[in-house]
Amino acid sequence: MRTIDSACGNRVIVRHTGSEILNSGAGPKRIENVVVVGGGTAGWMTAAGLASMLGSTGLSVTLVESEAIGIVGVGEATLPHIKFFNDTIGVDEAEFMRATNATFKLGIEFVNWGRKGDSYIHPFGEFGLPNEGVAFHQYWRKFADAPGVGPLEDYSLPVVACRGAKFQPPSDDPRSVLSTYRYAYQFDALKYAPFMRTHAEARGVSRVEGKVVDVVLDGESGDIGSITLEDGQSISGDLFIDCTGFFGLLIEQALQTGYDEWTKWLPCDRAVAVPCEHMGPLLPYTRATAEEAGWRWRIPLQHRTGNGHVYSSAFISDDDAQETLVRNLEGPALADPRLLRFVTGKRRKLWNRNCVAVGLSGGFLEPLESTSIYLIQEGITKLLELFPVDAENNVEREEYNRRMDLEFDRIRDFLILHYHATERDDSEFWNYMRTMNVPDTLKERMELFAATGHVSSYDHGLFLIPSWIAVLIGQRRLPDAYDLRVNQASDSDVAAQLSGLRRHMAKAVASMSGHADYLTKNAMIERAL
Amino acid sequence: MSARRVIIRGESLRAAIAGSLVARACSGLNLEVHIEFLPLQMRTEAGEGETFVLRPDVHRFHGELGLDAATLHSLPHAAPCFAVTAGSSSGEASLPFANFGQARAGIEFHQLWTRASGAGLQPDLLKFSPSIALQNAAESMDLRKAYKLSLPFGLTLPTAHYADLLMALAKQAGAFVHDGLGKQVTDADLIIDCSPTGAANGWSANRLAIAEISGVPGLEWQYLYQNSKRAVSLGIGSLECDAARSEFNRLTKEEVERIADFHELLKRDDLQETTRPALKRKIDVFEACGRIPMEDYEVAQPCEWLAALWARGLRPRRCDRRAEALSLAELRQFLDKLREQVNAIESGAALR
Repeated sequence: MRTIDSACGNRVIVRHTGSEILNSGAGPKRIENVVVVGGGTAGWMTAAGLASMLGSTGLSVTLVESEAIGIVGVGEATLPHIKFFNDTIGVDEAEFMRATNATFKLGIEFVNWGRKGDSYIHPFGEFGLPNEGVAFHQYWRKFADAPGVGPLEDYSLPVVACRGAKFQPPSDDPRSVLSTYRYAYQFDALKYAPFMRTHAEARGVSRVEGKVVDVVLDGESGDIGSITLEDGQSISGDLFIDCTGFFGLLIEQALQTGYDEWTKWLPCDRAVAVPCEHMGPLLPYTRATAEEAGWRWRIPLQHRTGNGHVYSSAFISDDDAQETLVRNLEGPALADPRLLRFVTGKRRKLWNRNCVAVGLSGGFLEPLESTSIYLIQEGITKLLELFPVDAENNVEREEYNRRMDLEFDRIRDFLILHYHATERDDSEFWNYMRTMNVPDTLKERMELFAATGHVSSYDHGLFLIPSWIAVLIGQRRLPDAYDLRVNQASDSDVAAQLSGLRRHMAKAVASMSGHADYLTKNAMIERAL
Repeated sequence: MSARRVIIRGESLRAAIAGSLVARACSGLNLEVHIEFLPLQMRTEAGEGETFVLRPDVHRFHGELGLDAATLHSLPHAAPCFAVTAGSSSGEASLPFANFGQARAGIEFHQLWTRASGAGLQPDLLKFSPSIALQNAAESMDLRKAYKLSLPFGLTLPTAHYADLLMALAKQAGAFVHDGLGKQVTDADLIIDCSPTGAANGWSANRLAIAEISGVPGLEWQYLYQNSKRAVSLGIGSLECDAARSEFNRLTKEEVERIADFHELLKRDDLQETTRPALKRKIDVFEACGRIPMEDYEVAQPCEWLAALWARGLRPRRCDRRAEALSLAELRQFLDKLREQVNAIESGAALR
């Protein structure tokens, strides 16, 4: 028997029993009962996803949470994939927008990353159009310094829309420039979990209130047999989903899975967050402003602005980090600042024995590119695809872990790029980030781009070529050369095409609604903005 | 540094495919493109001779060359190709270019079929392939009709005529075409070798080896024009760039590995003994739950992997649990309707 401290300060006991709990009958038992532990964003999304997709197959989903334990409320800013998740489980967009005070998001603005004073937007869309199989940015590179060509972002419709605070959903017509982007949401994460809860419960999820004080492991298999709550209630299950946040109550405290730290590449380990009153136009994008030892986020919601400062405690004190955040608020604070501690990295196995870690219990990559909810979604999607029939599921488990590892690794490299591809030398933090050794996979990508303008591609992973181009060029990593086929077109033809495309983008965006107007006209606001 | 003179060498069809693309891409760039070819010796492992097969990706290749459907249609014996047949240790394998049946609510068709099969409802999975059904009618099908269908298709083309057509396009784009190897051009900045020598492919010094032999009809040509494109985008403009060379070799190697996986699946007698990790994973996961894990840089499509696994007698032990969400009555109705549609294709009624 082991005793461990839980996240909320109480004691959790891990007990090992005989094997009778799991193997009372002949042959492997069909998985019929899933227990989700933890009721934040990850917990309720998982419960809603499982119940929506598998509820009608006889799968019973129970979610255990305690009102006494707060939730981290990850992911106020999201990626376009969340729309697919919401659509799949039957969420009405307008209802969701109202319930979570959501706004639309077309990208992320990065301020002060390449150099102080710089600003670029990583959009959810393409840059320009390829020509004769040659990527647009190759043409732009040749003429980047020519008069009238302007920055690359002028050739991205979502960026132009962001700069103008405009929004409309993309067109279904693939010939239209208005079809060249996707959108995500910025929402109140503390309201998203309750919203998911209503959906999950409507689809048959049972909620149990209570703190987990005891995790019972099967003595023979080592699997989790049951959990015991503070009131003595025992809840058994065939498969357990750990959504208990950084603490990893089941996956780590009970199963001792292990954690791979990536702090040498991503040393930020704390965040301080505070909401403030909303000021100025409602922007359809999140902002990430680089600071002395980290960066600040700004997420505009309907009713407030979310703010936070992610930093490395090795380079700045908590007090100074908080002062930086508060000093830069655009309006009066609406709450006291809240401190979060984390270690960037990933659980060694996200699915270990009969426990799957979804959300922060599985790993944490800092929120620079809004990947937290995406990783929750991927965890749920891959679990659904590989959902085991019984306890004999080594193959499914290994495949799940392999695919999730790939997701984490590739996102990790992309995040490191933001810190490493910088010219900043104004603090110890930036000197470290700029000069550190990065993973070989990232180093090779950066070298290829620098020498040729080509971005090494892969088929599986979140961030594809346009994302890499946005950050590399946005952070002044202009390639030394461009594709030689660019020279096939005459300079005057290319200049005319660039100019025409730029005008076309600007005209298309001019016809779009203002972001706030769109929300109002489509009954997506909780109250008048 | 960019190349000033490039030589493409190989047997005529291979040299024509690579040469036409390189010539087109380098036209007007103050760069000499020479194509040195040997007479056609078309008798590949895939049993191709008078005619040969190009896979659906070829339409993009033709688009880049500016080659239109009418020109292709004018070639003798030109026909659409919806599926190919490859030899395997378990007999012939039909490999369609489009999915079996139809996915429903995000669940792949073969998962639904597996469930139905478990309930004793349905005949062979292959009977639900519109591509295989269409292939039976493909020889007599007007090529122009295929372009109006929504299914992916490749092309069956006359080898010599097609090689001539591409050589003519290469000449139009400014390439110098020479009959015979090494007779007229003695030096070049870059040599693109299209001879499948069996040696390791890739970029070494000033030589790019870009060809691979395959026992699956069409696979080697797809590999060849993919590598030809890479030769243009990474090779010709970046002769002394280590990063470009490394990327070229990485991609080439990955694709060769995926092709080798596919061949091993078809040809190895005892698949349990395979030591190829990605193939072993495909087999294990497919048998466990019917999913086919795809790698980066796959050359064969998921539907071809499914068909090949099927042909080797591998079957999932269970279906995706989400397939159970459909009642058996709904499933029966869904499958019956699909079967009717495939029957209509087989009888020719759907194409009239």
